[in-house]
Amino acid sequence: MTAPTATLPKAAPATRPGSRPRRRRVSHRTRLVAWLFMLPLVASNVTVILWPAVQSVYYSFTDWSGVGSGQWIGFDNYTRMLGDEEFKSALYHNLIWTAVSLVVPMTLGLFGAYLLSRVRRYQVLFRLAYFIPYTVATVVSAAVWQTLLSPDNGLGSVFGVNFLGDQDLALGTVAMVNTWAFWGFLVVIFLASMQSVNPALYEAAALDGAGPFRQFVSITLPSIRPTLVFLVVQTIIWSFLAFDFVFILTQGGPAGATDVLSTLLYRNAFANLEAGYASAIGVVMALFTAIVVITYQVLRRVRKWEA
Amino acid sequence: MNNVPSGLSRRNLLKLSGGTALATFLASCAGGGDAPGGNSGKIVVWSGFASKEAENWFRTNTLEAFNKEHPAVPAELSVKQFDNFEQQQQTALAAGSGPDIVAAAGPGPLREYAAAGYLLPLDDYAKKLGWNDRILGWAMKTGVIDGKLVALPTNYESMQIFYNPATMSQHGWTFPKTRAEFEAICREAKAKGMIPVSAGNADYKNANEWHVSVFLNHIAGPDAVRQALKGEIKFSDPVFVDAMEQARKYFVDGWWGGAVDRYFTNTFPQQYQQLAKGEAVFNITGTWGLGEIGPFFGKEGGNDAEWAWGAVPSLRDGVPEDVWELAVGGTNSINAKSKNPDAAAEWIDFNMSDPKRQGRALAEANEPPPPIAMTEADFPADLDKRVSSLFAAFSSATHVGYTTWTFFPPKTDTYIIEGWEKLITGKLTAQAYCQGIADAFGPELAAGVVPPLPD
Repeated sequence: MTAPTATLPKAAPATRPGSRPRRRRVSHRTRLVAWLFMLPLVASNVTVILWPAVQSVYYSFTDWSGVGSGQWIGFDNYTRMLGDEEFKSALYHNLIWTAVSLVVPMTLGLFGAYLLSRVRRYQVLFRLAYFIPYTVATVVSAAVWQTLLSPDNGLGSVFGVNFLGDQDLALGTVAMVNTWAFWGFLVVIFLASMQSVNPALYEAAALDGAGPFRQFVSITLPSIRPTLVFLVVQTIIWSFLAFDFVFILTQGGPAGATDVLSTLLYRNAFANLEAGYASAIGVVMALFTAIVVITYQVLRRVRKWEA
Repeated sequence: MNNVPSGLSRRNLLKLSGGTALATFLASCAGGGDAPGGNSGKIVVWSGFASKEAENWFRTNTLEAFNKEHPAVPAELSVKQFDNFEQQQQTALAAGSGPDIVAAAGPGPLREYAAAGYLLPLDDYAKKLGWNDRILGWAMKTGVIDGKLVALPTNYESMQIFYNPATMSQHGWTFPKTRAEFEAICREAKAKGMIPVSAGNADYKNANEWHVSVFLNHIAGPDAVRQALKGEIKFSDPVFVDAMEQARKYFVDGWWGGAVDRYFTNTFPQQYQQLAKGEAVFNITGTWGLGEIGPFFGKEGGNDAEWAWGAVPSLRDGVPEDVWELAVGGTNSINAKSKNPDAAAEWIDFNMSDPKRQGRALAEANEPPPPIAMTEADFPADLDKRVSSLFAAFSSATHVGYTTWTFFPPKTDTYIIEGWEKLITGKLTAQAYCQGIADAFGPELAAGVVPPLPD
């Protein structure tokens, strides 16, 4: 079987001689130019993200004060973290924050978007109204809520409670304020996703007697699953980075009741001058995020969510 | 679309891109255009301002005045965010950049800065410019690290009580001099539904340490604090445990802020308003309060109330009545990388000289004066007598106390602030809180990072 092949005349080249190397050259050149155009961006990302991140990992193994240089202390910062009650408490608060963020704003966002998708008139107006809190500066939102919740002349005086001063209520209150600022964003994203669902599916379901709730569960949710999963992942990541509302509204108080990992990190870096330990906390936060992202990517592949 | 434009060869494009990337990298590393001495022929001063008025006053009366006197090497102001000024500066210093004048909110970070080689020793300038003769000895000492002068204090502070004289006379009270008198008023005021001491940390969590400093110096006493800071006794000793237990009770009884939970949500304006309206009897704060309290009283505050000040009384038998806490509210140093250190020293000197200008700064911009010898004549005639008398009172103090933000090392100080909230909310006992202070302080004392004490 090999002889005939061997004796067959060589097929005429598809293109004239020398064209293939040239095509490879063009391709190589295209890639090179593309990379060259990207180089400034890549360089700036390496400079302000990758390099500081690598440095943070390094510093997490040192006793660096944030000033000058630090001594290599191995895993001391990490072992210290295991016994640090403030770290455990902050991590616990982050988990509560995550749970609240996954339930309250997500539910509100989903139902808000679903209801909005049914509205034909003034939809843009509603969308704008929901989205506005997300665009307001955190400092402004926090100041407004501080006044609204005041135990002297705000909601606190009406209900006879001090929302931000009570250890048992403070974390939930700050998370609620965050929800207020955040859920409108979810509404807009979910709405955009819902608008891409084939209307024929709803019409068919309606003919089969499915009510709005049934349609939501059986058509809307499966259809927007990639968006939903993506936002769940993002919410978890954002929850571990929660800082601004906590820092402005309660500064981690009362008595550490609203301390989260990022406020603990900030305090260690800039008040305690323990930037090495703060870096270790930052690395652990990044690890939590990495676990979430990897889990998401694995599930995406295994379950073929975006197929 | 993949063509390199004619006239721009691949080699040149590569150079261009590489150059751009390198420029981006270097620009990022340099941290902006404020590199010390990078602008030869001038010095760069960073400053954050609480208000536009304060900035304008500074520009006219300090910056322009200095530049007029020193035209050869003028100063250039770079305004930074007030709230995170030190963090920005710390980052810039770590990147080998930053201003010629390194400013700090107190002596706390000086040791780290000095150890990292960020600060130029100032001993020669002190001799040359006569700082040792002009600056108060105790204040000068706060800038000495390992025997070298690395910073000069820019201002000094203390703690006092504000009160509304009309409220006092309405209830038949006179300003307390002893613990018994103070507690009697607090008890009676609480029973009447008033707030004995308006207090809160909603605007500034570190306000916790103002109160702890008062309790340490007026209950435990300045001698005990001094001994503990020198390592002769421990912060877990009974004198401190008893002091913190007494203080805890003040909070739990609702004497401070009205209730423990209210302490966490009371803002500074609220506290002054409570005083002006007669809802609160006292307000314990620092001398910086002189610049804050005015707008809440009299015509500006829409009332006919007046404020007055009094010294914090002794809150335990055996503690002197006239203890004034000492605090340094800011320091100035010279960046070791400054290319104009002589001009930088002149800038520091300028801000520590001319007592009349310093007196005017206090009168017109509420800028606390630097720790230099000042007489009554140095303050302008139109300066509120309450202000000048307060500074005169603690300038001539016979017993000085030690504020946590000036004389305590950083980790101990942070613990004091954080742990305090746990003490007043019942998460820690006074014994546990004091043990925590002792545990934080021990290693820092051993590491030699406790700021120097005045003689």
